[in-house]
Amino acid sequence: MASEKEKDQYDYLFKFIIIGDAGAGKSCLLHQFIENRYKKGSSHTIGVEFGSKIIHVGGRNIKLQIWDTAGQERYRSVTRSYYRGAAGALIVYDITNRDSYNHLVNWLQDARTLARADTSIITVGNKCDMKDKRAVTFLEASRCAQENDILFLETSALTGEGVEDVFIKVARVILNKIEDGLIDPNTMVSGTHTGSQRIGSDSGGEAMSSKTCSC
Amino acid sequence: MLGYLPAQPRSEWPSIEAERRASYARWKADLVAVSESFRVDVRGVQGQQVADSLSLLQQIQKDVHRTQPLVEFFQRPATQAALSSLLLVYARRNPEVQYIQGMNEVAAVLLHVASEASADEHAEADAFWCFSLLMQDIRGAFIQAVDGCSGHGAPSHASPAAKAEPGAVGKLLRALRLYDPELGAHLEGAGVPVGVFAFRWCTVLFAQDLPLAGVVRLWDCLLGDPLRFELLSQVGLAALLTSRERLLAASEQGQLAELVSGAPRMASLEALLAHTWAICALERRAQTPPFPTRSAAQLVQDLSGWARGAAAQLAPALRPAAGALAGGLGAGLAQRAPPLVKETVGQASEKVASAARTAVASAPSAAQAFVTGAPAAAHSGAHAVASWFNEPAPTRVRGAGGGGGRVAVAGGAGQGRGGGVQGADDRWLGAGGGGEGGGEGHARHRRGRRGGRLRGGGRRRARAPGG
Repeated sequence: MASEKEKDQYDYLFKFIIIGDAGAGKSCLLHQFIENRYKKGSSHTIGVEFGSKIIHVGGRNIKLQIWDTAGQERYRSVTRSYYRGAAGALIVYDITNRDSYNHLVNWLQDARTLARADTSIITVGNKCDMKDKRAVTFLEASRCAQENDILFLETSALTGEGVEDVFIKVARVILNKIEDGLIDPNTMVSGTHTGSQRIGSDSGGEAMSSKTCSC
Repeated sequence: MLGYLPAQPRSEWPSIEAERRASYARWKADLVAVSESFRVDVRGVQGQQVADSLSLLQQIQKDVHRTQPLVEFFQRPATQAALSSLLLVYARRNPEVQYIQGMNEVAAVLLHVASEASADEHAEADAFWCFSLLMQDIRGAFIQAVDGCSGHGAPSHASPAAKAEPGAVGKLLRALRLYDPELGAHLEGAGVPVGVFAFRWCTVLFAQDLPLAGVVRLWDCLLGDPLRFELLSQVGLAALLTSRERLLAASEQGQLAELVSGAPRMASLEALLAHTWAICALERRAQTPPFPTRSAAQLVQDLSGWARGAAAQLAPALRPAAGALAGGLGAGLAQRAPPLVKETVGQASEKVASAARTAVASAPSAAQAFVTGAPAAAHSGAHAVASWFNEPAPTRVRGAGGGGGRVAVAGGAGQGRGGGVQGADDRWLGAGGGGEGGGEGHARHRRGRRGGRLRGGGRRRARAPGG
């Protein structure tokens, strides 16, 4: 138990959401990040999935609470209720699927209006191992990201390329905002509703263990 | 059991089957084109509809290609074309539902079952019909799942059309707190979003969360159960209770979330179902006051209170009825039932008999309904229980809704009551087995299950006096 506790010591708790079109590889991305391997035979997400992991950024232990959402348009009313309070948002598209890229704007608008005003957003072009089927160039996606003032990276949930960088990059940006006093860490994760249960209303103070982050 | 074919008369089956298969073939011909190489395309649309239909088909196919990815059957182009076609036909014919992610999982299970039951060319049509009929029950949950909240994230009122337990998730969470407060607090304290996983379990009826054979067996239980989808939250709770020890041993949020997500697969299907029946039986036992009354002693006291109350109105006519009841039960079971069950039922019938004796001794006048109902119920009850024990085990397991279904006949008035006392107590132990010892042994589960069946009868009795 003691070692478990130690393992769960962290300085900050960040809530992340992963959004984007169905089949872009959101769940595989999350799985690759948490398990460090590709999820073979993965099904589509029904509603929402959840994962968490502690990463080390800038000398701090940061616990990421990640909500991975169903991509289908019709699930949006469910998934939207998980946006609230998210400090980071990953908008995933499939570099071999032009439509999924074209929908970025909608997802971006969703994230900006429903998460937090100061949510740090990254666009993730997934499936970059399938270069021969590429339908979206690195350049245009990176330009689009610049215009919208968001981060951008390409990843492969299959090989793992770039996956950890995505999470670290966003976490670092959030950490900088905290250290610059732009974000109050005590408002990081606030009252996320998951249907009938309140989750993660902990305040992200210093050196908490899982025992102290009760609802 | 979905109502694809009527229970009787069987002689009409071929013509009904032929008719329904022909209708499906017609609809499919109007809406879908499947090439030799199993390429699926839309048909019968014009203008703006073309784009809509194509995008619908695209959504469906995206999911069909990742349905049951570990089962070879679903990797075959023919299977994928069949699954896509049937979902497309359903979506086009049911514009208020269309296609919602997860429907592919439900249809896949039915297609697999149908393809084992009938020739390949009919499997798709049969699966379509079964799917349509099942969707009548669960579409409410699906629609609510996706459209249940307004665009701003505020939950709206549940649609009145939502038949399939709109609150199954909420029910599960409440039940968890009640059945195993320690586990409930542990998960809540660690911030594990149990509801998120339960949502998936309940929406697609565990199709993503058990091996295919397990899903089929679980569905037999669900469909055979008279209250059908009430069972869903109980299966979910059973999954958590059977995984209890491992869940309590973990404390890190992410790890716990993963354990909860995989809980239905963690224990054996046997254990999962045994716990489910135990919970189901406990929940459905007819008694006042309702849950939670834990001790057998208290139940017996309640019963004798009831007997004494009834006594004021009982006629001497009751004496033969009670005798027949106790005797019938004993005779029916004496030869065949395993010792444990025999003992249980023996005690139960003794209690009934003694309750009746007390009643008769002190009561000069009769409750008319009871007197007329009791003798017949006692006989059919004893008979049903005996024949149930005679059946080969697999049938029993399969008939499992059985708790309610088959043994429902056993709802003899007094006998249901007596069986209820003993059974309810055993079941509580069974349910607590998850709570206390993490499932101490098979005997206990079995005991719980048997109790469950008897109880099913009791419940029926409670709703329709006299069985």
